[in-house]
Amino acid sequence: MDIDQSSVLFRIDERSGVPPYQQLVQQVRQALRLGWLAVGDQLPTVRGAVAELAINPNTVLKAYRELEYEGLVAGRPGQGTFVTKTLADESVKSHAALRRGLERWFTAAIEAGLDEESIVALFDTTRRSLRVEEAV
Amino acid sequence: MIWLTWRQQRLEALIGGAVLAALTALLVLTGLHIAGVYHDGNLAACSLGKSQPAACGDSVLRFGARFSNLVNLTNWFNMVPLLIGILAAAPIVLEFEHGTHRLAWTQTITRRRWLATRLTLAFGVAVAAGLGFSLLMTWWRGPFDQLTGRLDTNAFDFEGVVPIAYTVFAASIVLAVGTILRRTLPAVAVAIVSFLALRLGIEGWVRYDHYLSPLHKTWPVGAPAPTGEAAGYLGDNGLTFSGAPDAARRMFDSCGVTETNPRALQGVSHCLRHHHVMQYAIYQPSSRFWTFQGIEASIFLALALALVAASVWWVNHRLV
Amino acid sequence: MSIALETSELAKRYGSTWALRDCSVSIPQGRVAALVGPNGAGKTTLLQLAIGISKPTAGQVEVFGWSPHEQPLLVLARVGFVAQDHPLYRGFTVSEMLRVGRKLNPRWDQQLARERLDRLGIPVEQRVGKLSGGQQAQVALVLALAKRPELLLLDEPVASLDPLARREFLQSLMDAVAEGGLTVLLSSHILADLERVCDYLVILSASRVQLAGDIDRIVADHKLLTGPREGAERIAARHTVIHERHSNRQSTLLVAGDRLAAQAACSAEPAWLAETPSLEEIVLAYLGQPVVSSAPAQPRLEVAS
Repeated sequence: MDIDQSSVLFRIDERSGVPPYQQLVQQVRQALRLGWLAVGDQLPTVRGAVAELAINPNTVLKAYRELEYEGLVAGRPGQGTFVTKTLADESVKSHAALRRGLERWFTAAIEAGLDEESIVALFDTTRRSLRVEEAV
Repeated sequence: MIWLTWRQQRLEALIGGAVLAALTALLVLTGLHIAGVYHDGNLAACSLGKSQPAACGDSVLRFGARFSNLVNLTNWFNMVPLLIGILAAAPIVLEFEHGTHRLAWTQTITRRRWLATRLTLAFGVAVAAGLGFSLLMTWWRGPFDQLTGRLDTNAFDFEGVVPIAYTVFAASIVLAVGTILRRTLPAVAVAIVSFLALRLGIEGWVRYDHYLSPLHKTWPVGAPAPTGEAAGYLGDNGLTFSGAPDAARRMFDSCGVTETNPRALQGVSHCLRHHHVMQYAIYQPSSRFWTFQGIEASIFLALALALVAASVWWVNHRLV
Repeated sequence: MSIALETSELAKRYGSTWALRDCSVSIPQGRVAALVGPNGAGKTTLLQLAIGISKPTAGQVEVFGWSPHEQPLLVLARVGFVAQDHPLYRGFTVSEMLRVGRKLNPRWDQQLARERLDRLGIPVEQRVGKLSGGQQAQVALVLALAKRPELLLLDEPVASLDPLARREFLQSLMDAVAEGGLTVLLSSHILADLERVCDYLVILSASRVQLAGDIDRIVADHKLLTGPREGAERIAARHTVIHERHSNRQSTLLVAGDRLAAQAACSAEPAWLAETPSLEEIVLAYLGQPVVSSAPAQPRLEVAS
C-alpha cells in the first residue's frame, strides 16, 4: 500500500513525555477534528508506519485498537484500517460556549495583571492537578 | 565451510603459490643445468661409496667450486618452511584479530567443527607444501648428494621429512601466539624469532653432536683414509701428535714442514709417520641420514603438537 | 504466553571480575526488549551467554527452552546475532557474505536477503569493506534476518552510526518485527531511540539486573513526586524511593509502587505534585543507584507483564 494514499502523516516526539501510541491516537484525532481525514479514508498500514517512523509495530496496533474502541476507525481484515467517524462537526459548533468562556477568562487574567507565562503556568498546574483527581 | 575456509585463505594461498612457483622455476632451470654438467663430467664414478679413480679428487673439487655460489644461495631457502607456515596460520589469527570468528560462531555450526575444518585445511596445505618443497630440493641436490652425502646442512635441511616438520612447527607457533594474543603481527614476529633460534640452536649444537655419538677415525699421515662408513658430515678433523706443543714445533721443523695443506704434508708424510703423527676425523656417517631425519622431525612435530593442542584448548575454553 | 529468553541467576566471571551476577530475566515472545546500562555493565556478556559464544560460570540460560551451551545447533538455528561493530569479512563481496550464510545455515532465505538488500539499494557485488558504516550495519542485519530467526540479539547495533544511518537501521529492524514471529533483544547505552522501538526493558548496572518488565507497566508504576523540602522525608517514608533530589527549597522523588497509593498520598498533601516520569527519567534513576550488595540481590522492582 502506498503511504501517500493515506492522509495523515505520523510523527513521534520522543521528548514530549507522552507515550508513542498515545501520540498516534492524538494525531489521528486531530486529523479528524481538522477535517484532514474523512469517513472512508485509510490510515497508514502498520508496515508503512513502521517503515516510515522506525517505531514498534505494537505501538501502531495499540493506537489503532484504541481508536477502534472509541468508534473512530474500523479494521477490515486483509485491507487495512479505515475511518468510520469524524470529529469535525463537534469541535466547531458544540464547544462555542466553552470557547467564549475561555475568552472571558483570558481577558480577566490579563486585567488581573498576569503576563503570558504566568497565564500558561496557572493553566498547566490547574490542568495537572485536575488530571490527578480524575484518575483517582 | 570448506568453501568459506578456502575463500578466507585465498590471498595467502595465492601469495604462497606464487612464491613456490617462482622457486620451482628457478630450481628446475638450474637443476637441469647442474645435472647436465654432472653427467658430462662423468662424475657419477666419483660418488660416495664407489671406488674413486684418482682424478676424482680434483674433479669433485672443481664441480663443487663451480656451483658453490648457487649452493650458498640455497641457504636462504631455510626461510621457505617459515614463510609457508606463516601463510597457512595467519588467516585464522586474522579472524580472531578482527572478531569475525563471532560471526562464524553464530551461524549454525559448532565451534569444534569450525576449528577442525580450519585447522585441517591450514595444516593440510602446510604439509603438502612442505612435502613438495622437500621433493623438489631432493631432486635438485641429486648430483651434490651423490658426491658428498645428505647429512650436511645444505642437504639435510631441505630433504626428507624435516621440511614438513619445520613448516608445521612454524604454523603452530603463529597459531598459538595469535590465538592467545589475538594479534597477527606479534604472532608472526614471535614465530620468526623462535623458529630461527630453534633451528640454529639445534643445527649448531644438538644435531651433529648429540643425536647419535659421532664416529672417530684415525690413520697415519699420508695414507689414504680408511674406507668404512662414508662421512656424511665432517666435524672436527686434523693431525694428532702425542707430545708437548714445543716438541711438535721442533718436529715440524725437523721434517721441513712450511705449510699445513694436504699437498705439502704429502711430501713430508714419510718423516711425519716416523714421528707417529696421525690424521683424525670426527664425523657422522651418511648412513645415519634417515635416523637423524626421524629424530629432528619428531622434535619439531612434538613441539607443534603441543602448541596446536594448547591453541585448541584455548579456543574451546577461553576464547569468546 | 511463551518465553523467548529466560535466565536464572545467570553469572559470568572473567578471572576475578564478575561481568554478570544474579541475572534473572524472562523475556516473553514477540517483544522488542531493550538491554540498557552503562559500558561494562554486562550487556555484551548477557548477549554472548544467550547465543552460546560464552559459557556461564553459574546459573542457567534458556532460549525457547533449549540451552545454548548444551544444544548449540538447536539454538543457533533459531537465533540471529549481530555482534558489536557488526563484524563482516571485509574482503568479501556482499553476495559472498550471503553465500556464507547460505552454506552455514539450514534455514536460509536467500530471496528475503536479496529483496532486503535491493530495497536498501546496497550493491551485492561491492566489497563489504567499501560500504559505508550504515550499509555494513544493514548487511549484518540482513545476514542475521535471512536465517529466519525467532530471536534476534543485537549488541549496540547503532552505536557507531550517524543519525540517518541509525534511523534507517531501526526502520529495517522494525519492518522485520512487523513481519511477525520475531523477538528482539538489543543492547544500547543510548536511551533516545528506545521508547519508540522497544516495549520491554531490562536495566543492567554494576553487572546486575536493576529493573525488568514491560515498558507500559514500568512507566505506569512509577511516579515523580515534587514538593517542598520540609515534607520530603515524610513522603519518602511512605513510598519506595528510587531516586531523590533536593534543593534547599524543593524536593523531587522518583517512587515506585502502587499508583493509587502515590496519588492518594498526594491528594492529602496539596503542596505535592505527582507526575508521570518519562522513561528516560526512570532509567537514569535506576542507573544512578545500582544495587551492589554482596548478598544475592533481587532486582529493585520486578514488574511482571
